[in-house]
Amino acid sequence: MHSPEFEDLCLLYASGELAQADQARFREHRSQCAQCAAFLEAMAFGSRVARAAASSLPERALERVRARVLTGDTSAGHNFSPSRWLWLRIALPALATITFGVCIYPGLPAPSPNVMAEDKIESSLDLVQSQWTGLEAESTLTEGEGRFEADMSSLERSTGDDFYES
Amino acid sequence: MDTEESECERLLHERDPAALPKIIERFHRPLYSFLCHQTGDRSVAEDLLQEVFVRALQAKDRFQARGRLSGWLFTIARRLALDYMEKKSRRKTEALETAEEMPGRPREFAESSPGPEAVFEGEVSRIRIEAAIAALPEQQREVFLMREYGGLSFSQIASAVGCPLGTALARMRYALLKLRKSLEDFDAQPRI
Repeated sequence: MHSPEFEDLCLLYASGELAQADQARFREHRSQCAQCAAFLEAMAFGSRVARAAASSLPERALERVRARVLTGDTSAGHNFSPSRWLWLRIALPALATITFGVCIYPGLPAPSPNVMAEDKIESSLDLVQSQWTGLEAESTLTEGEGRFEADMSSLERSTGDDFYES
Repeated sequence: MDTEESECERLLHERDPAALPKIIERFHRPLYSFLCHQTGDRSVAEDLLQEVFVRALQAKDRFQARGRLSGWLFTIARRLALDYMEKKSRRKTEALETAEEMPGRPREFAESSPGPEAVFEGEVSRIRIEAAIAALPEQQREVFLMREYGGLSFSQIASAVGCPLGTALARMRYALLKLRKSLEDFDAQPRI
């Protein structure tokens, strides 16, 4: 009389896990049971199916695996599919924008991008203008100093001459 | 247990540097096949395969003599595949993911190039087989793949999956009967 128990025995027998005591009983049953024979055939079919669907790792991929595992070289390693990291591509620029906004304008409501751009241009212009004014003042002073020195030397010359002459 | 596996275990216990290259050589194919079927994606399977060996390397001191190496590696692979599938199912609403899935091929990882007609015919058979395996319920599929690719005993599978021995046997039984039924017209084909 066939039952699922005998199918389990078929599986255990094939995997070498059937106890010695049960083996004789199983063999005897199997030789007379058509359903067990059918199940054993299904087992063989399953193995053929698995073999047919086995995948070989391409040699290059195997080299990548070896490189990463044996030498810790991750550069040759992962194949990141775009979909798996799409969220990171979106999240990182967004995070950078938020951080920039918080650092530049602490405590203020976030301005619109246009206002931010205008502010940046204005502050840049102010900076350029102040630098330019500083340069102008420096050059005027130098010019004045030069003029002063020239005047003094000419005065010295004239007064000296006059002095000695007098 | 085959002699190669015993040799790998011996090298691992002796902390021989040659252990890992040997383990990769011996187990990359069955683990990769397992991961391909479990994830349905070759590049993901490759990533996870690397991860299996990396984790095995990190945890090699915890590997006990009482367990078989193949059972240990397949347990790691199973956990990684489950984690990946869990994350994937959370992302499933993403438009890109949906666009990648082709109707009629729920889990696509067959070679894309059809080649000559004979090869193409073989590919069609392969796609049907992959689809039939993919159509198995998750728990039945993992038992089937662990048994067929890893050569794990049912006690090992039960331990790896965390279920009683009888449950592991029942899952295998159902998987085999379903495959037989869904691929019954494949008998005449010599390729399988």
